[in-house]
Formats: sequence, structure tokens, C-alpha cells
Amino acid sequence: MIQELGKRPYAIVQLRQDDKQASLYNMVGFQTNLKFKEQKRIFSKIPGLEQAEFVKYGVMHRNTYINSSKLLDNTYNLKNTPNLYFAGQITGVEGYVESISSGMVAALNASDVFWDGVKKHQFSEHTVIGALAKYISTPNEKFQPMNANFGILPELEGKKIKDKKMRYEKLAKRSLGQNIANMREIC
Amino acid sequence: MKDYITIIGGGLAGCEAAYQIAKRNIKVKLYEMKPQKYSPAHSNENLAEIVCSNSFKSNLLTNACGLLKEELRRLDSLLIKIADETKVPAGQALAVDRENFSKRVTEEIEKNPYIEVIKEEVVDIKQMIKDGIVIIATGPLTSDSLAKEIQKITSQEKLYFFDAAAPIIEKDSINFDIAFYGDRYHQEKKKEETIEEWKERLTKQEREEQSYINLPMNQEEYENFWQELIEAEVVTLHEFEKREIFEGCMPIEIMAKRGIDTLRFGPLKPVGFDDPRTRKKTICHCTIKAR
Repeated sequence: MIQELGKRPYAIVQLRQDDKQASLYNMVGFQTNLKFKEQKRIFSKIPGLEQAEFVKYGVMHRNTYINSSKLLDNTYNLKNTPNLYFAGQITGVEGYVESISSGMVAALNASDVFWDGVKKHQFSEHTVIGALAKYISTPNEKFQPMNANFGILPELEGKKIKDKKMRYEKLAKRSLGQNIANMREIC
Repeated sequence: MKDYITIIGGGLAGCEAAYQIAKRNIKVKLYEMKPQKYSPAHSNENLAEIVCSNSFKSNLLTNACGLLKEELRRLDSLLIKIADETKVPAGQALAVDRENFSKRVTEEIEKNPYIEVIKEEVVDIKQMIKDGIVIIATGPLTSDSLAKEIQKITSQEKLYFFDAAAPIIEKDSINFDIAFYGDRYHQEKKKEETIEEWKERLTKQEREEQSYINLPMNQEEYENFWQELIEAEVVTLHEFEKREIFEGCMPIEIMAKRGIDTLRFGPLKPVGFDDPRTRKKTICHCTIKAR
């Protein structure tokens, strides 16, 4: 058992489990464009990684996205082109879950149009799904890809709650309470 | 009007869209260019191949991405369901076994009677949208020819940007005299815990909790590392590739160049841990740890 805690480190490099067997770990936050031999040389200087085997080196890759703030509406539908939707990171949503979210919204509305000719899934901006759809489709001179975050949701009514966690809890409740119920109804 | 909806791109967005449309009794033609053609980051034949991190981020409702996942679960998202089913331990985060995840998505999509997967690169969208609904979900590594086509349809000039992926290391090659397990957010002392209980929990956790490995640095080690990092040689980018980087996936060397302490307040923050190298060790064999 720990008798006494040691000093707080000056910095910590974290590795995150990458496969089910827990045999591979990725370096958290270490996306990089360094040359492979430089990665090997420099990252091996991190205490504990002197003999590290790199299964994969960090790479930079291209990203492609359209200016959705000008081009799309909040169902990920190209304005003035009723037959064409976009989904995934090409719309400027950033991240896996965000991509899934955009695929969901585009698909629900495309299905609506297929059967009835009318889009019915314009999600409330009180949900993260709806807030993201609204974010990417709102005119913005400096449009940049966006992750899910509470900053894109409308503020809570009433006095501002100072405690972040409590505020986020309220925002989550607001989304899941009333609005998801509505989502279900129209699905 | 066509009696099906076309989806271009079998990544996360395209697969979720295909499932949702099929669920509403509409036929889907899902186009995927692999294995005929691969992007620079993709390497296997499966649909929904993930290449950046294996983490779908936090599962907490007090995190916006966690809340988004919960909303999607309630809308019967196939991909979140499979992510839940193929998760690996990662503290409060939902991280998946990549291989397993994309294999399971591929199976679900391929066995769906409403979905036809067509392994071809699409180059002509204009024709497709004439008499049918199309969803373009070609991702951050959209092929050049299709990107040009999208540029034409949307009258866009700029479509290319950059993002980045982190290195992966074999656990067995890590020196556990220095490295230790532990999830930053479980490390802090809980209000209701006594000091003794807390220490005991940390000891136990370091034995059992394997989702994160931590590598502590002292000031000298950190500063040397930082110096090397900012002077390191980077890969030269192609002429046509315009460099624009955004916070979510910023290369570590770029972040480091912002200042000597930027990493310490970012991904390398020491919060929540002590450095075991500076712990006093006891002699009693029953309490000695393997370091």
C-alpha cells in the first residue's frame, strides 16, 4: 500500500488503451506531423518509453469540408438542391459521434422526403444533435469544423448557474427531458 | 423518381444513414470506394473504419459529446449501439476495439436486405441527383475526383485542410519502473474518503485499472523534451495542400511552439497524480509494489 504520496510530476504523458487485449496504447494528444525517425528519436526520450516499440507513427492527413454555413440548412440539405444531402466530417462537424449525428439527421429527413415530400426532423437546438445542425448551417464568416460542446446550446433560462457541472447537468436534463420525447414522437 | 436513396461513402456517417433509411423501408445503394481505392489513412476493407483515435470520448451526460451519444442511443443509432458493444475499458470515455467495431458494422450493413453495398468510386454526382435523393458522406479524405465534383456543385473554392493521428505503442515495450496505470479523474481524493481509504484505492487501482498508462516527467525532463520537440524535423507538405489546423486535432509540435508551458496545461497536464518515483517505499514485502 502507498505509505506516502510522492511529488506532483511536472508533466504527465498519458497513453490510452487502444485494443481489447490492452496490448496497444496510443499517445493521448500526440497527433503529429514529425518525420517517423524524429518521432522515434524524440518520443523515446519520454521517461518509460526508452525502449518503446512504435506500432504506428503519428500522421497528418488531409481534411476536406464544405462551407456548410453558407451551403446547408439544418437538415444537412444543400440549399436549392432538394435531392442532395451531406453528412459526416465533410459538413464541418468534427469527431466520430458528431459524424454519426449528422448521418442520422440527414437520413431521417431524406426518408421523410422520400415518403411524404416534406422534411420533418428539424431537431430542437436544445439538443446537441440540433445544436450541431444549427451551428453548421448558421452563416459564419470564419466557419471552422466543430465538436459537440455546450457552448453551441442556447443558455438556460433564469439566473446563470456558476457551477459548471450543475449547469451541464441542467442542460443535459433539458435536452433529454422534453426534447428527446419530441424526437421519439416524430420518428 | 428512383425507388432508392443513394449514399456515397461507407464511413461512420454513411453507415448510420444507411441503417436509418433502411429501417424506414427504403432501399439504399451505399457506395464505398474501398478496396478498389484507398485514402492515405485507410487500410482495411471494412466499412466504418476508424483511423484517428479509438475513443468516442466521454460517456458522461455532463459532457456535450456524452450527451450527444445518449441522444443518439434514444434515436436507435446503430453505430453507437455497436460502439457500446465493442467497447474497451477507458474510464469515463467510450473507447472501442477498432477492428471489432468496424467488423460488426460491416456485418450489420451487409446483411440488411434493404441495403446494397457497391464497391466503386463515384465520380458523377450530377447524374445521380437528377432523379433520386443522394447523401454525400465521403469524409475528411474525399477522393480528389469526387472533391472536384463537389466543388463544382457547391461553387466552392476551398475544400482541403489537415488533421492528424497519434502514434501507437506496444505495452510490453514500456518501462513500468517509471510508468504507472491510472485514470486521472479517479485519482483525486473523494470527499467521503479518509486519507487511508484513498491511498488504498489508489494502490488497488494502479494494479487493476489498465485503461490509461501515465509517464511522469520532472521539470528537467519536460524542458528537454519540449526543446527537442520544437526543433524536430517535420514532414514536408505537398504544394497543393494548404495548411490550416484547428484545435481539435492540432499536431503536438505546433501546440508546443506556442510556448514552453502550453503542453503542461494541455494534454500533458500533471493534474491528479503523484510521481511514484518520488514516493517513499516501505520494506514490508506485503506492501511493496512492482516498481
